[in-house]
Amino acid sequence: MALNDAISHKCATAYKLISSLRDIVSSSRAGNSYPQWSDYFLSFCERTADESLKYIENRLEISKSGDEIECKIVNEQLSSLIQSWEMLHAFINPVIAADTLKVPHPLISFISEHIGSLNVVKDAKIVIELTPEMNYHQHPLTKLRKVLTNPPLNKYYKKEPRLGFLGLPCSQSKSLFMNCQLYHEVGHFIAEETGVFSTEWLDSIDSQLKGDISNSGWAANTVQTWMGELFADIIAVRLIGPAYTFAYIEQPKLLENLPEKQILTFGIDHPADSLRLREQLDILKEDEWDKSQISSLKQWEELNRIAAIKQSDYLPPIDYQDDAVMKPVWEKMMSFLCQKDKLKEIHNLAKKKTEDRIRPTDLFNAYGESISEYLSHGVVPSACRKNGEMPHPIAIINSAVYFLLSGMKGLFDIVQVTEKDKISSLVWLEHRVEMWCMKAIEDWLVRPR
Amino acid sequence: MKKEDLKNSGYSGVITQDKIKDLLEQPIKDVHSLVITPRPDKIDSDSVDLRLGSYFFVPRSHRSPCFIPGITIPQYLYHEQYIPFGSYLVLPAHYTVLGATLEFIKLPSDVSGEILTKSSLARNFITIETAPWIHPLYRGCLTLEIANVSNTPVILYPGVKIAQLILLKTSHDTIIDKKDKIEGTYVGPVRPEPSQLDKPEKALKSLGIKPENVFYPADEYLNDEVYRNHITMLLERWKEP
Repeated sequence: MALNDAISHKCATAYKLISSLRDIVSSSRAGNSYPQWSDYFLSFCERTADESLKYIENRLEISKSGDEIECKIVNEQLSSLIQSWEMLHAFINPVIAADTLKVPHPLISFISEHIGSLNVVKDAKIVIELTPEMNYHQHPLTKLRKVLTNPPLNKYYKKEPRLGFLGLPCSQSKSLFMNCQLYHEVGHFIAEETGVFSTEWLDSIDSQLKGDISNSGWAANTVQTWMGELFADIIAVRLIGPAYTFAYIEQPKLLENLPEKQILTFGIDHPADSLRLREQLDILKEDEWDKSQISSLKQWEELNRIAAIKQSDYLPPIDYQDDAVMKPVWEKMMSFLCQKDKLKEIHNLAKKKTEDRIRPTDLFNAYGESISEYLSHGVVPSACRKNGEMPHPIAIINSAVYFLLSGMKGLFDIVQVTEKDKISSLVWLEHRVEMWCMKAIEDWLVRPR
Repeated sequence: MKKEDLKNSGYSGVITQDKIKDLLEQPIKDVHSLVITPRPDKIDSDSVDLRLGSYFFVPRSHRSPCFIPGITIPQYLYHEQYIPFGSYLVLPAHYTVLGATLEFIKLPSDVSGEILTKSSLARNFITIETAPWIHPLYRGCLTLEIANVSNTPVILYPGVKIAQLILLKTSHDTIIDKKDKIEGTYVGPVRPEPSQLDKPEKALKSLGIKPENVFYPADEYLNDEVYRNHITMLLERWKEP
């Protein structure tokens, strides 16, 4: 095929791809409302699509000159444009799926405000995605940002506000409690934005592992991934408190894993749950949650039990537990990660990134009991006031978690429902409590200021 | 009149500003406490203004020939819509939507409430409520049946004042054990909630109407052979293995 024909073909392919995406975005925006920063992103995609379509037509015109060098350049530009839009494609679809009614909107708005108040990611905003998987995730942005600096995508691209793309499972679209796990993804976002785990960091792990492990590059990468998970956990606990840890314990996957062996087993991407919970507990104790009402929960007891499991009991990933060659390699990597100074380093990094946070314990101690009382009377807790101030969302979230995990004391006695023992009644009432708390967060967001 | 006197007097009537403020300050564990949240910045002499919330149920074109109580799935009739503060909902002429107040309320055990359209809105032929009565101890945001009965489309901004709440002291307390309770069909809603009606068989049972004597809109077509065959075929398809 002559270069000219190839360009025409490529132009048509690119045009179809981009115009189709533009139509999908426009019809979604017309029919639904989106959280503020999701809408901002989708609007950016619409405008950039228009610009890209103009760009394609323009490239086609240039190629008609027949100049071979020009044609080669145009060909490359079109390839790059298609690649960029393929990358955007992966972001657009999950954002479109997450319209306001399918996500815990007040919680998302609060997280955006909360994160943007931290100096290290000042004014960052959250774009929410709905994922088909049962996992929460943070959509890394580094590669996308790089392509957005190329023409024609750069016309409407602004470096500020920094957008963090966080995904939640579609089954959890209305939950308040489980979605506290989004704070772990916030941790990954902070790590990416602030370049915590730099190439130098990776090289340093590599050099430390070199003597013990022959394929030290792979091992260093794995250990760094584990460190990233611990870092994200610590960020989450420092920002939102035990609500994150209890959501983590209650997540369906972990409940499935409850046989002891599973809690002790490392994964390729994650350290063992026992280690992760131990590190979270350390932060919770530093923040004096052990002196609060939270420590009376049976889940707190369970957390202490899991965290107390000895490091020597940890197991390598399940596929390598009987592998005579690889098992010792994994064990070396696990021991490396579990060294006190390494863990301390991760703690310190996470603390430094969140040094200007609002301490969740202080908010919980100020409002916790009152919020529980309001919830036990079936009332939205924004009604509970201290010095004329509504309770802060962090206090609402942790108090709700305490209220739910302690069996919704009081509320069950006053609600006239038939068949109280039925699981459907329990789930219905839990959902009501979550909605009341979500409403209280919404009230806080629209408070006079 | 002091609060204690009011409680015990058997006096019944509209509650005024000072009393409303007093009731708002009562601790939540007191069954005579009143909650309005977010707290209004101003209370009128004998009423409290309530604002429009952000969630709506908007009618949609649907497959059902009509609404059949207890059978038609409400989601077939309405779709939920969220309008962020600052944006607006267009209410075409002669159109109705379900909305809710921004304020969540909890009434005392000896106070009933009535919700009325704000008069300035009513003058633009907007009505917000056809079932305005609120029972003592009710809690939740109030569902509004918003209708534009004018000939002109109107836009509605969430967050603007739309209703006024009148509080009325009942002649006697509705509970005798002073214990809080939550009952009723709609428990603590924070968004508009569609109706939960009984099926006609259940609703008419108290009148001695037998199920075989209750008719449905499509029953008349059963005389038609084609329709009858269609129903038979559907029943066959749904038969359990």
